[in-house]
Amino acid sequence: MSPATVLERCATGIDGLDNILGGGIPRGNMVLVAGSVGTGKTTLCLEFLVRGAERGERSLFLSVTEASSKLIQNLSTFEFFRTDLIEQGELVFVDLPSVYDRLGLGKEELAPEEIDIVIRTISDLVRSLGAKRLVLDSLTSVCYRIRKDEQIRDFMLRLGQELNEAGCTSLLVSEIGPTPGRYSLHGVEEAIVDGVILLWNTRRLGDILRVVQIVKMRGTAHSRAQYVLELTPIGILMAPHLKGGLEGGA
Amino acid sequence: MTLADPQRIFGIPEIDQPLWTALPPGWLALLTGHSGSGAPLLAKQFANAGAGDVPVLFYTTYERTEEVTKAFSDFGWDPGAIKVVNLADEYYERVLVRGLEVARARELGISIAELVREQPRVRASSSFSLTNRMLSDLAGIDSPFRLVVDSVDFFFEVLEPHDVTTVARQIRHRCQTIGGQALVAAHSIAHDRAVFGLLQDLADVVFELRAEPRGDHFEHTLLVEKVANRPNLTRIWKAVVGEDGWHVESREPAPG
Repeated sequence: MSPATVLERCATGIDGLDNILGGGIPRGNMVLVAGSVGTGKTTLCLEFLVRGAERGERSLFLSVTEASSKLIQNLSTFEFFRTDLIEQGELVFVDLPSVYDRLGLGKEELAPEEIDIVIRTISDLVRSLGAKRLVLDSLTSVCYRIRKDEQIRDFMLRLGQELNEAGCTSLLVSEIGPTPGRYSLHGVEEAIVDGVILLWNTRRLGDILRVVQIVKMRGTAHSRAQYVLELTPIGILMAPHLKGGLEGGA
Repeated sequence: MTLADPQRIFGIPEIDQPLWTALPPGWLALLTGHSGSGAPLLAKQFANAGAGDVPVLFYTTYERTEEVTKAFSDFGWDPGAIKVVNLADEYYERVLVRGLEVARARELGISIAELVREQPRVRASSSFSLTNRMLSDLAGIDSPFRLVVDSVDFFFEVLEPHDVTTVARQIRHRCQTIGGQALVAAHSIAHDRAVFGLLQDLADVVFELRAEPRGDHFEHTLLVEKVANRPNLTRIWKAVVGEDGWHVESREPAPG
C-alpha cells in the first residue's frame, strides 16, 4: 500500500486552528468562514493574513462591506498587527466597491459577463501581486448581486479554480443568521468550497462565548469538536468548549 | 412680478414688434431648422437680443464654447454679455470619459498600484444627470432671464423621451413664473414624433428656418409657424444674413 499524499499546508498562524487542521489549511483550498455578527470572522481572517505576511506570503484583503482604512484602524489595536507589513506591500487591502466603480459594475444585479469580469479581476489581482493568501469579506455581499444559483455555483467553481491554480489559499467570509440552517446566503456556496469554518456565539453563565468548529476541510483529517475562541490583544486563542452550564447557542 | 421688457426677440423689428405684444409675459419658443439652415445663428441672435437687459444663459450641446463666443464676435455681438454653458463638455467629462475608463479597466484590468494608490481617497461622484443639471440651474434663477438651449437634439440622445418634455415643461414654467424668455432649438427631425409634437404644443411660439437651393445659392426662409392664440400672426419671411445677423424681407408673391 502506497503512503497517502500529504498536501502542503498553509499555516493559519492561529495555533489552535493549525493544531486541529494538522498544520494548517491545505494550500490552495477555498474556505468559507461562516458566522453571524460579532463572532470574530473578520478578526480570524485578518490574523490569517497578518501571520501569512509575516512568513513572507503576500496577503490580499478584499473588503466589500467595510472601508479598509477603518479595518486597518481596528486592526491596529491588536499587538500582532504590524503596519510595516502594509508599507512593505506584504499585506495589501483593496476595497472591492472601488474595483466595481472602476469596472462600471454599478447595477444591483451582475450580468453573466460582469460576473466573468469580477472573477478575472480578482484572479488578475492575486496573480499580479503573487498573493498566496486571500480574504474576501464578504462573499455574501458579492453573491447578493448574483441572483441565480447556477451562476453562483459557476462563480464559486471558477473563482476556486483560479485561486487554486495561483497557489492562493483563500478565506471567504459568509454572513449568516444566529441560528443558521446553512452556512451561506444561497446554500450553494458551502457545497463548492473546500472547507467550512463555522463561528457562533453561545451563552454560558451570563457570558457570551465565541465558538468555532471546523465543519468541513478537504484534503486533511480534522477534529469536528467545538472550541471556544477568544480574541485577545496578541491574537486568537482557542480552548476546548466545555458544554456544562450552557444557556443557549447555535 | 417684474418682467424684463427688452421688446426684442431676435432684434429683427419685423418679427419682434408684432410678436412681443402678442406673447404672454413669460414664454417658450421652439426653433427648428435642419443642418445648414442657419438656426444656430438665429439661436445666438436670440441670446444677443436679450443681453444687457436680463441675464442670458446659452446652453450649447455640440459647439465648443470658443466657437460660440467667436460667432458672437463675428457678428459684432458681445460674448461677455452672455453666460455660455457647455453641456456637451460636462457630459463628456463626467459620463463619456468614465465610459472610456471603464472600457479600459475591463479590457486591460486594474493594477494593484492603482487601487492601493487610490485608498483611502473617495472617488468623486461619476454620475451625471442632465435633467438635474438643467433643472438645478433653472431653480437658481430668481429674476427675469433669457435662456437658449442649442440644441435639444442632445437631450433626445441621452434622456428618455418623457424626461425631454419634463425639462421643456420646467423651462416654460420657470419662464411663466418669473418672467423669462426661452428658446429651444432642434436641428434634427429624427426624434420621437410624439415627443416632438409635445414640444411643439408646449411652445408658445414656433419658428422654423429652411434653406432651399435656388440656382447657385440657397434661399433661406423663416417661418413663424405658431403663435399661441394668435394664428393670424403666423407668417413666412425671406431671411438673409447680414453683418449683424439675420434680417427678414417680405417674400415675393409666387408667380401666377
